[in-house]
Amino acid sequence: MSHVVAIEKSITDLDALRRACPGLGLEFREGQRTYNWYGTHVGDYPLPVGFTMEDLGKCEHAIVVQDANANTYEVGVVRRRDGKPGYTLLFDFYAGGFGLMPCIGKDAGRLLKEYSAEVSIAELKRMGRAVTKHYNENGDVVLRAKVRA
Amino acid sequence: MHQNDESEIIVTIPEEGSITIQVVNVKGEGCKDLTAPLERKLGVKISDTPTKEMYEEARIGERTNNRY
Repeated sequence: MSHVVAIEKSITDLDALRRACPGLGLEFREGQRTYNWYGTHVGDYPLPVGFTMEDLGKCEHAIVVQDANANTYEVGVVRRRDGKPGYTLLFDFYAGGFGLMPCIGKDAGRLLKEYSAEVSIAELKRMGRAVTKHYNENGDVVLRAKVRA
Repeated sequence: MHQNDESEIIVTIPEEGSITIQVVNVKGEGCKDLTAPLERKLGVKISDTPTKEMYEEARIGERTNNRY
């Protein structure tokens, strides 16, 4: 091994986010301007940096559960407001989001994992690498790409 | 940069925590070029830890030069 890099996940590629959705039972809805949630911020958790209570429920795109009912909460995709590039996800996890949280995972970890896998696969293929994908015993995605001289 | 048939990039993505990119069996500083585009696409680099292989090509080069 020659070096090991650790990277904090962030969302900058909406196409990759869109591709990550179907495998999790989700649908990316381009241009949906609102997302379903409880409707009132009760102040039990801090808002993302740069957002106010009035911003909640509004978004640029949305991610919804494919077999949702009328109560199922949704994910709002919005541009970050902390000075960094890319997007952040707004969602309400109360009562498991009535079916949302099992799809996206705690803190949207499942969705971010599959998003990051899509970004990695696309970039490795662009670099001309053949890529294999599997899941290890912890449920982590493991991608392997051969390096030819 | 030296590579062999076992050389590969391994990306591990957990549900919680940071993504890890490992470059295996690639010697020399050039291994960083292999992962730089991917790092830029994925997010914010937290750490970059070289392993002993990254320095091996330089040491071999020094020995070769001394021989002549």
